[in-house]
Amino acid sequence: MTRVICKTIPADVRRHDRRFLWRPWKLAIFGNRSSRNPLQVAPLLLLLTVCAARAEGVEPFVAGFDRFHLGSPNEPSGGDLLLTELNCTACHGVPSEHQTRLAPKLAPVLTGAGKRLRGDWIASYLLAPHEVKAGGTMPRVLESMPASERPEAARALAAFLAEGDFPEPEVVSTAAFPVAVSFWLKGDSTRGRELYHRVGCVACHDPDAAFQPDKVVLSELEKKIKQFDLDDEDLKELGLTLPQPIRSVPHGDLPAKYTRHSLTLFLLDPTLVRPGGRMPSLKLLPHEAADIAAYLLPNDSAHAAAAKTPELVQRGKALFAELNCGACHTHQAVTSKPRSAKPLAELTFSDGKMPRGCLGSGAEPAPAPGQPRFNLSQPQQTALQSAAARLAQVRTDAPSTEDMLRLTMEQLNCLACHQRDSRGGVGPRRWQFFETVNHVDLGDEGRIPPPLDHVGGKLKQKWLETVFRGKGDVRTHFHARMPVFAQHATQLAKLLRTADQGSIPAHSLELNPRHTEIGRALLDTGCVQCHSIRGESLPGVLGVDLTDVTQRVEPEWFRAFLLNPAEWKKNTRMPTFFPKGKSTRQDIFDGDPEPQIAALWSYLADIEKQPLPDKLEQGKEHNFNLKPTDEPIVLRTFMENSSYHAIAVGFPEGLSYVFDANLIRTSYMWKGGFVNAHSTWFDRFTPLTRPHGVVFPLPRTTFVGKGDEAPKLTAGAPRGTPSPLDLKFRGYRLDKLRVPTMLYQHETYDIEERLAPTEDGHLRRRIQIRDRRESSPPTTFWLAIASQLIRPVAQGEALLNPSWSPTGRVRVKDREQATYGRRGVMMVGIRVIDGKGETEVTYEW
Amino acid sequence: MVTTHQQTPHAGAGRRRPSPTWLAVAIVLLAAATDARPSAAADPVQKPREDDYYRLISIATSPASTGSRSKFWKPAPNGLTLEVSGMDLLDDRLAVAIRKGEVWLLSGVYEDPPEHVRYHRFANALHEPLGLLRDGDSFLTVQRTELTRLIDRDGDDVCDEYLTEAKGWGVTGNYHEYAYGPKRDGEGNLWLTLNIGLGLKSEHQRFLTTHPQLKVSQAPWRGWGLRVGADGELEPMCAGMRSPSGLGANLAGDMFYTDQQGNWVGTNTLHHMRKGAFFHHIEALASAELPSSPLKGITSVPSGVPFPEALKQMPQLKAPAVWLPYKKVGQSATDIMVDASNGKFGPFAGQLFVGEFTLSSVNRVFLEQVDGEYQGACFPFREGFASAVLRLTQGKDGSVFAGLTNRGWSSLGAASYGLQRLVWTGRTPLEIREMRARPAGFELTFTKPVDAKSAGDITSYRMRSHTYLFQPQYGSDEILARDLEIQSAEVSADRLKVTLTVAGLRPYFVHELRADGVRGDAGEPLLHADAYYTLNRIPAK
Repeated sequence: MTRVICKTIPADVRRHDRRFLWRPWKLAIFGNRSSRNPLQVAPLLLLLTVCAARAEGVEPFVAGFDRFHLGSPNEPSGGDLLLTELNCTACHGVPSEHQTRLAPKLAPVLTGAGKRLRGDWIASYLLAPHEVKAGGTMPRVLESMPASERPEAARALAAFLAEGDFPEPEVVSTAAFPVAVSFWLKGDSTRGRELYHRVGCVACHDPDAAFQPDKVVLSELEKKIKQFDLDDEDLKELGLTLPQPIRSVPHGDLPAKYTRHSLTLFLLDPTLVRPGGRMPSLKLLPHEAADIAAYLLPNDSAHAAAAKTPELVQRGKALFAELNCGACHTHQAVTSKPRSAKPLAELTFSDGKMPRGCLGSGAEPAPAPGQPRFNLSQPQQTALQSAAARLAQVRTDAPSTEDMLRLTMEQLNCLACHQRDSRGGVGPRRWQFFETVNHVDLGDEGRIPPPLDHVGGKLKQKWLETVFRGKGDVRTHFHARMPVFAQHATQLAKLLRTADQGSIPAHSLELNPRHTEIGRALLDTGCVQCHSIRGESLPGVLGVDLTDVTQRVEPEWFRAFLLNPAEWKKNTRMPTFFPKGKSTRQDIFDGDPEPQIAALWSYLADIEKQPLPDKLEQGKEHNFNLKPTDEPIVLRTFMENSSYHAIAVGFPEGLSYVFDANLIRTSYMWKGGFVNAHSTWFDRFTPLTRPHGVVFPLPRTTFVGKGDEAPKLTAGAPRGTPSPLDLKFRGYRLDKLRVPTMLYQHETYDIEERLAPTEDGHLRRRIQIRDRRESSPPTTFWLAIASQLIRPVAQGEALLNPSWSPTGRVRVKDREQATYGRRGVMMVGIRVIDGKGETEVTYEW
Repeated sequence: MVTTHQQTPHAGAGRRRPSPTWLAVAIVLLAAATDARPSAAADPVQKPREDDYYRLISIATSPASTGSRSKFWKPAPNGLTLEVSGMDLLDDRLAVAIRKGEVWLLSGVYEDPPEHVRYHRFANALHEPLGLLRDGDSFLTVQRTELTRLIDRDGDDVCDEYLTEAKGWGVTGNYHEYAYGPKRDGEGNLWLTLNIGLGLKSEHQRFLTTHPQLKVSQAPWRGWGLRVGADGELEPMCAGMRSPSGLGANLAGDMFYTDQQGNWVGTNTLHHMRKGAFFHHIEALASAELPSSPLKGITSVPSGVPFPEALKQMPQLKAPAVWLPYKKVGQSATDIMVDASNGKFGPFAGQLFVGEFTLSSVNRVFLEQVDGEYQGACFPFREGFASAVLRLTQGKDGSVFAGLTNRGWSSLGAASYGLQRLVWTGRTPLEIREMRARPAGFELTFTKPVDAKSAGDITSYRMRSHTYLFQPQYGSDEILARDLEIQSAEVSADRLKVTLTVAGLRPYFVHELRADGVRGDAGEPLLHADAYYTLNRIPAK
């Protein structure tokens, strides 16, 4: 049956596309997944094995090799890449000076693998890795045994691999980082599809042909091509090159392999089970990982581990050692050391042909136990040979930094997204999946991962490491995320720094604390129009925040970039403020760019302690500054020098006051602006509201007694002393002009207090007392107007705190009511006759 | 999703032909579609989804310009900052209080989809109002410092009088001193609750009161539930609250509140508020010796012991009616809403619904009285709200408005604030509607007849019980946990009830049930298979 299918491969189907035939093939053998049971399908597995041995399959796919070395297999650099990516160097030793560089990528951790990968998938994969996962780098490992024994061996290995627990990312839901219960069950495939095409998965993996980005953004180059209808010839003449379409890293048959649960956990931190870091974490949140898993596995079904008996597990464990699986994989239950093979340099190649061991094919004599079969293409074989030959010949040649860097970047596939030395970068078919948040037009630099030319001269070692560790996201306007390469962080940063040493013209920037103010002013000239600082930005601005810029970049790069941005970054939107080396600000340092740039640097280096540039400071305040225009504004708040029960009132005339509803008194007045409401409205920690303007304090302005005799005030009563009268706050009422009248009570008396501006710009305070009783005996309420340093000018008129400038003045309308007490107090006696009494006081300052 | 890019670029636009690459992708997609069938066929019953029974309609939701915990939090640049902190109905409209201190009247909120919602500002200048209650022609709201009545005198739908109904609790300026309410009990009394101040500093000291023996300090009545008399007098009723952000009465008119995990509070809880009860947070006892306190004479408090032991040591300490196990039933409980719709909101008439902040969801509570005290079970109900659920109010058609805001903390969901409406689709989910304590186990009542075979099989159920540590540290693990043996499962003749006989019931422990094996008539599993019963008392019969 299988032979028939093998034969029906149409001749014109490209070799690479034959992988698709695996699916009908598999169905023919296994039937529905629900009825699949490895124990029942052993005879079919046998057939499969026979076929697999003869099928050509697909060669392992190594992204960097495919993209950069396919056309030049005789260069050893491509072979070097294969040596690590195919784990050749896990068994075959290399000279010590090459050990770091050629360290094998290593294969997945297999402890508990059977708990996260479906049992029947593992068994079938072991039998025919190149067919089950076309393009995978796993070699065939069962070739050394007779075909008839292989299915049983695969089942035994699958049973053993279900032993132990696989390393799982720890997901703890906290108040600051909430995670839904059983989040992996709650993925949404629509959201997952969006994420998959946005956050960077498609930099390496295939996009869905039917996926339409929200808005197709053409690259600058694409725009030109479209605008001028350029063809290949034209492009060549113009010296322009479109990046070549790039093949994708295959997923394999994910539904056959994973459950949503296991795929979600894998996506959260792939390096836990794939220590090589070739599949990096994209910093997915738990629910995002669940969404992508839901997209990749549209129909989830329960996990089924391989059938297991103690004998089968034992046999699997023995096979694990026998087949030397431990050379590339780890399993907690296996402690024996893997065997190593002949050092690479000692391998013999004859006549351009590879030795028959690992690289042989099925027709040749069976390999030795533990010797795998890799199914390499001819260019791959040639490249390996070149690399091995170089290792054999040039023993003394220590690899150059540039070589090591190139190799590392190809190993980690950095070049899938980034360009360096005109190599790599996002491929043309993938360009459209890189978008700016909200589609704000920032050009390609606002959406495509940046080129890495002279990045080691630009970024500090520590910051580079931070970025590789996944904690350096400054381009918040990117949808695509920089993946985490934590284990390579130090080494990669060092390589970049060394390779790019001297790439930026040396120049020191002198920190001058006295020039920070100048730097701050310069930032207002053009920087804050596109950059935020400490998260504060002008409306609509979307650019890299400059807060930590001096921690991130080298001063010489900062200087060089500011002097001529386009020289350091092609097509950047960053304008130059120093055209032809001359500053646009001729008023500062005589227009000399050098001290200006140094002043900017000085300010930015001290940014945490410095005030924001004026434009940002104004913008920050602007939205929440309350400005009464046609009617008064009221704000209940925690108010500085008043109370936590404060009612602040601002009038369009620029006069304001605050009433303390706890001590029931007007606390103070001020002239100028009103208040900023941000702390009251939106600040969790409720800092105090401050008056914006010149304050006229009214210490102790409250009712201090009732009765015919003016009360003797106790000496030195501190601020915050309540009224000796039992007053009860009742709220406030707004009149037609929306001016509030404060309402309070004393026993049977209702007291109303209304403050409002006069026509000549003073504040008038009217107090009215009404007794609710029908028959009200006459009495007097004593109100202290103000109590500090009052200097009488006349009856009912006094200067307040004459040391002030300008001096405050208080006038009582009915001058007869006013008396002066000790300690600089002016008191008003409000006579209440027939249950009615009132007074009017004007404050000028 | 496996394919290759092999094609080399060829000449310009207009001359392009479909690339083999995309054909290949299409082939894979077709293959994937074919592959999907067998696994779907293997599992004929789709897992039920909450969305099939209760649908969420977004009236207005919005992400803020900054993160929810940002130091300089900023709302979205446009539109009303609808951080809902209180709600009540007003004819066909919904009155909504928002955290920045305003009350808005919204019309068109019942529309589906809501395309013509109109907003009208009724009141402003309130200091973080955290509740809204219509009282005849006026509204009542609790601000940070007082209970306020909002009156529109001239009928233009704009408030003219902001009258102080009651004030007098302590306010130190500490951010955590939130004040919530009011809500009305069955006798018409108004209730409000007050947070404990957290991280009190020297500048707060002058406002504090200190318990003479226990030496705990807080501003007066912080951590208390208060009732408001007709004359505006505050009557301190019960104490020991940490962050009582939700209160509400059941259909019988008894008043409840929810608390949030933290110091002294092992996990989120639901309590019956009544005079003289003490719930857990010790610092609330700072006010216990003040003149109107009903909790005088406490000289020592238990600490670092399991909760059932603490109950023995301190007679004033009352067990929560329901513990809401952490994460399983939320991480921070908020509002309480009784379903008074008589079935218009589905099969849970008379039950309580509890908002959930961090996980942006709503949980459900069934209560019964045993020996005159409330106890009962909680169940997950509906998740997936756009932001933290702070407020719940039932609309005139039985649907439920959820008021959302996550500022200052964190929540699931894409929005920072807003208003959503939860509507019953008319389909009845298979759920455990009620879980009652029996002398030797529990009686489950389902919303629909269950499949007798699976429901009568003891292996369809698992039960485990645990309690919490009563301690000054933050929260508590589930302690003294024990798996319990289900001895029998008897299905009633109408297949609506199952009586479980369970060995080893422990009073005051949470009894966690998982009924994963129970199936409905169509072979479907329960929409939520877990339930958590707080077994304070085991009924004698």
